[in-house]
Amino acid sequence: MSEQAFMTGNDALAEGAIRGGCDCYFGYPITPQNELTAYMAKEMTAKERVFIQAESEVAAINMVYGAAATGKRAMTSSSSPGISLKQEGLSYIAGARLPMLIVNVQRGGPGLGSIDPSQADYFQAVKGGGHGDYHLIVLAPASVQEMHDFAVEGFALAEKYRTPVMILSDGRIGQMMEPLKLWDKEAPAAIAKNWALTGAKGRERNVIRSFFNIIGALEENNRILQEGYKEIVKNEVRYEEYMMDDAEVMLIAYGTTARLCRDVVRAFRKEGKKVGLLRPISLWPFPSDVIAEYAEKVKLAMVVEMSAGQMIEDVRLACNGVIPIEFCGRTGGGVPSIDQIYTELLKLL
Amino acid sequence: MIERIVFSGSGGQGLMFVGKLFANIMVDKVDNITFFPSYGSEVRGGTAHCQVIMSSEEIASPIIEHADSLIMMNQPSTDRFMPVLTEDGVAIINSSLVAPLDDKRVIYIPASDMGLEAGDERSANIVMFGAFLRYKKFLTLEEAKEHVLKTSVARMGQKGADINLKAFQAGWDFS
Amino acid sequence: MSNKEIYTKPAAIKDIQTHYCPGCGHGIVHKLIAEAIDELGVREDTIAVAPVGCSVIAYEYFDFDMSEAAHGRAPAVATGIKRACPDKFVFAYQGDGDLASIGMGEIIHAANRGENYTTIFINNTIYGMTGGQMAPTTLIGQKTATTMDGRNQATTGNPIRMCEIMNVLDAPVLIQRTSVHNPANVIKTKRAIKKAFEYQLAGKGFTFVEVLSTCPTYWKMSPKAAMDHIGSVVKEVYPIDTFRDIGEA
Repeated sequence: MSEQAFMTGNDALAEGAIRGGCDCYFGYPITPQNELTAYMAKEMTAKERVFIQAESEVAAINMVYGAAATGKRAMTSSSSPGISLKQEGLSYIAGARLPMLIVNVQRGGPGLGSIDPSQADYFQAVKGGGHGDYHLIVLAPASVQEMHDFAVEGFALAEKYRTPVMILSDGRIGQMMEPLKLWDKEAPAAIAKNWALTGAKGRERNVIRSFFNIIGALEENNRILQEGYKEIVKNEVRYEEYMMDDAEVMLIAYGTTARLCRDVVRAFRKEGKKVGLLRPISLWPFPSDVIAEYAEKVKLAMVVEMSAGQMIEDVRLACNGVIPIEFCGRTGGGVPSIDQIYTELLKLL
Repeated sequence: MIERIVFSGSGGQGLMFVGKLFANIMVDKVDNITFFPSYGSEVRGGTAHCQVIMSSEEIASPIIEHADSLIMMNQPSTDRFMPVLTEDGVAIINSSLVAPLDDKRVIYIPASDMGLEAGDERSANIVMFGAFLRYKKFLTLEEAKEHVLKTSVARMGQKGADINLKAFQAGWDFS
Repeated sequence: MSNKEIYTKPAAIKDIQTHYCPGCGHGIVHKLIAEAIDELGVREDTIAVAPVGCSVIAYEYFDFDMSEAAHGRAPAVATGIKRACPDKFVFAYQGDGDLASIGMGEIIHAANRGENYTTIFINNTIYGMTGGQMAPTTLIGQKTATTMDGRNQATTGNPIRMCEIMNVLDAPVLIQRTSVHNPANVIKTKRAIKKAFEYQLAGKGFTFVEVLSTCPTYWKMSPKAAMDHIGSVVKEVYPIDTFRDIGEA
């Protein structure tokens, strides 16, 4: 029987990372993800793994860069304003093709914003928040269980493609407690890293860098990156369908708003109205193909986000004008109520 | 089955503690449960609260829009959450600190005074917890006392735990 | 009569021509580092961090594992490497724009935590790679691309003395300023670097060697004049000294 627990999303993610083989954690305080850092301070230290409370988010992400360069499993976590500070490091990490895990427990913005939950960092996460042509694999958990599971597998996924993986969560999932099953097997196996900095013993020296100041060399590095992204798009698209089989109306939401939409779907189904939910789990790569397929079957789609409308752009691209795409959302740390989503969709039916 | 409960008081009155204790007890007894602490703009107007939802169906939102039970330690909590109480819901209210309301859904209990009598006014949260559990019949007395004892010993030692047990019994007997 | 080998290139440095300007001190310090690493026999255990600045591609010249770091972040990267692999030998090579300007936060905190890696800090009082702009270390009156009439204390502050700043922290075990402007000082610099490396290998903690170096190109001087300039002017602002040495303690 697997090990049961009752934890906050932040704690469950931290425990997942530990069980996923995290060697090094580097953090900096910011609400609403502080429990994650505190959990790591206690548990990583107890396990004699590396924990540092860095002097800034900038330092923390660069410590991750250093640790990941040696082939160790390294991660950091933060919330929106802190994630902005980490974008420089993320761009370097992506350019240097270092696997690592980063967690954004989103809060309201822009600026210092508020500490209330938000989904307003979607663009930053999936469009490449830092400079240059790069992507992160972005996973959006909708439960405490998924906070845990995505952290467990995050490192191996990052290693498979030599790319950073981001878990894009929000304050509500980070703070809430739910029962979950803990990972009770060995950490997913690490892939051999012949590129890692381990000392040039019996081999040519290795160099980790994103700087290629010779004509063509940077283009070649970008070509390698883009080849990798093609593989990721081919293999790693994830989504969940909820009552989509016969749906005439498609709700599209991820994370916290997807949970709310499940309730909305049930409410409409009780009235015999054929509403379903398509939940993107990987925000990059985005499940464009399946959304495009459903666009041929349903009459209408409504995207629900805790933002002014960001993912809706990817939905529109996927649907390519085939059906009307409506939007329901709140900004600035506001979370739509189930009643609000229900009422707004009802008006469109 | 769905039960939506708000535990609320001022910071330090121990309602977060009680709510978490309750959720931890119930996690093995229900199909679905969420616990949500007050954070962000939820922390305003002098309330520190937490919300527990238990349901036979999956729980979409851990935030309570309509409450079945309220455990209210102070006036700001009462003012804030009474409006979301369902028509057939129940509110356990600390009458030592809250002005009476003309409302059939309310059970008044002088928890602060009873806590003082049990040995420490700070055990008022446990008095409220006793009254709530007796009313709602989620647990047997023995089972409830066992959990209170175990958690209290770990948190405050035997002396504090003895006071909490007395406080719990007083709340249970009052209801 | 047999030939006696009196000079050889260290194994830790590659046998290729560097991109550094004639009279630049980087080449000298690279060689001193490589010699020390050879002598200590740690080349195969070395992981070094290159900065952003003229020495950004130091990894093209050294023959051991290296990482490039974002501008100013070398202390954080070195921290990550050393904590992940405490049994490796780690040093960061940083210039004055990198370390004393954009990376001031990272260096202070790495030093304050007593991270067990070595910092080689090249102070040539200017940003070389970007075209000779004012650095935090630029001397008062020094002409640069952004202080055409000379650095003005009233609007740009004063030269930052890093060793002196480091010296208020409790954790560092070696804080030393040296120079490479003449053979005697080159020898002393070598000794300082080697000592810092030895302290790290003994697990003593954070070691910091600041090396006064030249930028003939943006000082607009001949190599010889630039070297003399350190001896006559630069070292008056940046005293060559050992600020802290815990010795064998």
